[in-house]
Amino acid sequence: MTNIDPNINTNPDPALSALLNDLARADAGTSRPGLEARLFAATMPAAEPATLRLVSTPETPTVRVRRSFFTASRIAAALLLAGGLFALLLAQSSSTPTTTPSEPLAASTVEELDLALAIKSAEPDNLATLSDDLELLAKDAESLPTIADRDWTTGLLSEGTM
Amino acid sequence: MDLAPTPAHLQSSDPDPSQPAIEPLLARCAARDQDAWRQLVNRYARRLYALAYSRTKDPVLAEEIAQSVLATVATTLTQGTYAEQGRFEPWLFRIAMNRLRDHARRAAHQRTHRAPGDPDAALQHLAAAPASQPSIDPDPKLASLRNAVESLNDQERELIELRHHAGLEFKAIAELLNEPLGTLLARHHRALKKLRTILESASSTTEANP
Repeated sequence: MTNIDPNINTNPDPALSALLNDLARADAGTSRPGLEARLFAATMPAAEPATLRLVSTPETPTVRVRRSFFTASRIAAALLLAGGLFALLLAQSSSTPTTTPSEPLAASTVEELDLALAIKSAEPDNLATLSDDLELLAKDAESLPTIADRDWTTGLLSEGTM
Repeated sequence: MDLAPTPAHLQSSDPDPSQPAIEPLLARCAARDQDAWRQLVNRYARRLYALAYSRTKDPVLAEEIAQSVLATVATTLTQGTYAEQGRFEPWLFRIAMNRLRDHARRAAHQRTHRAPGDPDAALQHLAAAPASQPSIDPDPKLASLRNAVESLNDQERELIELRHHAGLEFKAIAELLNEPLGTLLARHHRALKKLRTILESASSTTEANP
């Protein structure tokens, strides 16, 4: 129990409190006769909780909803949505420019060919051929003075005889 | 100290003279004892109606709200979901106050959202709006007092109505509103002083301009 300060006067204006009680009594008296009996009949707990209804409230009409219709509508809408999405994806895939892999492939093939040729040219076979050529050239160079001398004298003799 | 029991001015027309304790009465109601339920309805119907009428000014609506509250109580009791802890009255009138707040909210919503020229909306507005009450208070003192009560702020008006119309003790009001008892007593004191000032001002104006 909460203690109340005894100095607090809880009814400072008894005349006004009495007038407020009169107002409450007047309000309570505005009901039609038999309020308690009506409320008892309307709210009496019975075996079935469904009887606890508001008697004065008019029965609201029951609206039956065809659930199958809404289900069919939902399925149709879902199918339509899925079809639309599929068509969109299809359209996107067909309109996207495809990259031709032949061009970069060809370019890479040329590069690879060049590289292969370069490697081929640097192989020892070619080096051996080059050295053979150089040897042949050196032999020709060694034989060159004797040939020159012989041709020179042969030439002079032939001119002198002319 | 004015922690009086239920005021006699709001007792039902068919009061039970023995006024059994509330706990065994509630237990019998939970067991679907119709006689017990009749006693409970007789004890609280008029108080619930007076509280609702004070807010709605509509006898039909006030009776419907009282009925709705009692139906909720009956359902809760018979389903065994109510645990009595000596707080039945705060619980009962809390349900009533919640119903009244819901009604006020709906009425305000209907007033705000009605379309001009819509006959249905106009009818709803008539149903939702509190009826003007020039004739329900033949006593001019009561008419002045009603106007004065309506000019109080929400907290003060709620306290006055719970105390005088619902006939609740301050302790039960404190539990209902979840506020300290001293705060409520001080607020009640202030509300009465304000009412007195308003009434005196109104009477002096009437005397000056008869």
